[in-house]
Amino acid sequence: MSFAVLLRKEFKEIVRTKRIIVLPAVFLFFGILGPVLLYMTPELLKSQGLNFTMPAPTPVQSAGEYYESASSFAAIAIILVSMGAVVEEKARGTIQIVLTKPARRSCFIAAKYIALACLSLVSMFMGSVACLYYTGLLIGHLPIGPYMISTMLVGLFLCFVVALTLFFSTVLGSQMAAGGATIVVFFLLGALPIASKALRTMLPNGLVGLGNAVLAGESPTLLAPVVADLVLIVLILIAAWAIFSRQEL
Amino acid sequence: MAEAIRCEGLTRTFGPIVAVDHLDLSVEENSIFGFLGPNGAGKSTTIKMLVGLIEPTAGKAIVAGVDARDHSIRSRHRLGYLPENPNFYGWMSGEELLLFVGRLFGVRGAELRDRVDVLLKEVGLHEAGKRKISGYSRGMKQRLGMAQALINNPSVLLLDEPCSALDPIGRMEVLNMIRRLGRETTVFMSTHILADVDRICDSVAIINRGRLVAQSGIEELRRRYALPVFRIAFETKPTRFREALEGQGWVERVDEEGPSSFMVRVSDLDKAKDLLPKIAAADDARLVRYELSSPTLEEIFVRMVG
Repeated sequence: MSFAVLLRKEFKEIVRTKRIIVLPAVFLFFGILGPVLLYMTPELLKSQGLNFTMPAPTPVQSAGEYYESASSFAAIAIILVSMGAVVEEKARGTIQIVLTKPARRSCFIAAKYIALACLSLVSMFMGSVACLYYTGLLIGHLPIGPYMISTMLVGLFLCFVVALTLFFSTVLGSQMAAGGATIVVFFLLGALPIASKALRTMLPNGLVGLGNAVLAGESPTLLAPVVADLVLIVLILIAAWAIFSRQEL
Repeated sequence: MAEAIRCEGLTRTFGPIVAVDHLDLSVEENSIFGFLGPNGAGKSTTIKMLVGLIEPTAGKAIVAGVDARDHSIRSRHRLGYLPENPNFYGWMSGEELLLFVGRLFGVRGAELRDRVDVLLKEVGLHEAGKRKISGYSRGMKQRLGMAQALINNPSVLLLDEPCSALDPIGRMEVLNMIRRLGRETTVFMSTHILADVDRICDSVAIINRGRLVAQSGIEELRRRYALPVFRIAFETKPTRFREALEGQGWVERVDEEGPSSFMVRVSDLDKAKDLLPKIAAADDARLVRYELSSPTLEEIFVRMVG
């Protein structure tokens, strides 16, 4: 019962603290910027006096630009809006009011995760719709089916980012530390020198590459990476809960 | 009478620091219990252990019949808690916060709305109920804290410095509310405003450096620990009065309240009644006040922890 109450409070907080505007705006920006920039690049180069022939931009290239931005810059925006989720409640003392009531700590973490993951996914899909529209308008039509699949794969990666941020927000002592630690792990994951392609695709950030592959008309194996990412998210949340349940407030 | 709170050897250390040291306490049901101590004595740590926010290092605490280490949802239904310097979600209104807390307790619909209305009126926030908490003063937040602690009609109410941010009128209102609550709820309040304790508490415990110094009813505390106090004042500064008292075995302590007024604590009341007027009258300065007063809780407190 307390879960529904806490979830409702989290959604209300997202609306009242304007995060419902900030995050979709970031994704919309990149969703529009990708196709527009790709469309205008030859013109921009020409205006700078650089006269060489570029291959015509493709819809897949446009979507790839958006995924690149969504999984890097916009993912950092997700980290920034989520990093205070638990640690700030501890710092302000609001957590004492909630957790001395009949509210389980597991529900507290789960409500925060679901609310932030929903916000991230909705923002991501809004950016995707914008990218789809402007790509169709300026460059050419994207294949809807593969585009939806690849959007979901990138969305799943963002759900991992939310889980990671929530974990650090639970275990570390300040917002800055939580955000910093998440960003470090986020970049380390991308920089890991893993030779095996199969293993690379199993990592959460491998989902973005798989999305691009799907969009390019390939048929990579999706089940194992998707399950691996979901398992990782669940494990991170369980670890956050296990540590949180022993924390003194 | 049944116990609402019992602590047995309750201990909490933070590294080498012993915040609460083998605390034994017993609080009767439906009474108002004052938990006194100077800053850093371990009052807030004790309350946090009672509500289950921190774990004891040793010993145990039973609150409303449930071990405080048992973090069951069932046990929290019986507790109300107001933290020291309460803070709430600034984006909520006072009314929304109470609705949120009420829903956590499973109260719904018209029952919840009525309860919120009553509580907002009781704490004097009815007009400010729809305003955002971020615009509330510290005193208003403290009143809201009282209201949220009462939303579930708790059988045990734990209040950490409930009046510290309130103006005199607000303090009086909250104290009156606590007094009313004490008829049907056990109120455990920590404070260092001793006049408040004197006014409303049935019994008190005094802790210092984590250790229990005394626990009893207020009157018993006065009887047991208070020395009779004489207040004596002269028209002008006396020449020999203080020196004359120094040699007397029945005088415990002499404090100057002003240049010509004194507070004399005595260990033998009969001797003091015989001799003190004579010593005062023997001085060159004219005696203008001679009064045997009952010691305040503050005086007892200072004597015990000072």
